Amino acid sequence: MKAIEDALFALFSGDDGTLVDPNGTTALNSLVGEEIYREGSVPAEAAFPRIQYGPCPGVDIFTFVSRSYERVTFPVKAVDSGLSAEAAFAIRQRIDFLLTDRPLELEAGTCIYLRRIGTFEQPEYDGDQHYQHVGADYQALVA
Amino acid sequence: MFDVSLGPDNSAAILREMERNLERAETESASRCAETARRTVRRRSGRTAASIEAHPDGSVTAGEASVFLERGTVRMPAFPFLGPAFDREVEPTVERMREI
Repeated sequence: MKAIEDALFALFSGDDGTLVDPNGTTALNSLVGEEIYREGSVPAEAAFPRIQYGPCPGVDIFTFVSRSYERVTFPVKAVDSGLSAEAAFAIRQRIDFLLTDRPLELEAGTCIYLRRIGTFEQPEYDGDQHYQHVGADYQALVA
Repeated sequence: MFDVSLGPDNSAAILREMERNLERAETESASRCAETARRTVRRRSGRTAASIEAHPDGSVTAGEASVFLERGTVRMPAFPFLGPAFDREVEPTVERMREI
């Protein structure tokens, strides 16, 4: 869903620490700067650590009359290079704060629910290069 | 006069029937989920699609490059197929469970 993808990019790129997390997470502009990409649009020269989000497919929920809402499930992950996943974990923690019970501002539709449904961690080895993928799946309901 | 109360004589039979129906519903959900996943998975050699299996306990497994396709790598974007296939089966599975 394009509206969700646009809202995610706006949220992540605009996170300058104005939203203060009681758990003390650091703003994304300090953690990743401008390295925020939609999955499939990551340029070869993109730096680490970075955020990759999407795709955002949905399932339509109809009532008798019309479509009530769309249930959209999407991953957001931090990708870092090296053996340590500490930076990636810090990014995921901040993303979790930004996306938990804080419905997105959408250009089309209204986000009535947004929560994390699960996490994933996946180290990647490419020859002598090591990468860390640390992310989570989120579910939004869009009316 | 009909007595349809749930008692010690018929409760075991009813529970067995419910269990059978539940297993049937689980198997059907898993099969449909696997079918959707096979149809939507990205194909090059077709090995990942061929590795997708539904099991009688209601689970769906996939081997080969499935985790790399589902989550992506540094060199390759994610092409989720198991997650979306599962999502599509949630409502139909709930309906099947309601009919038990």
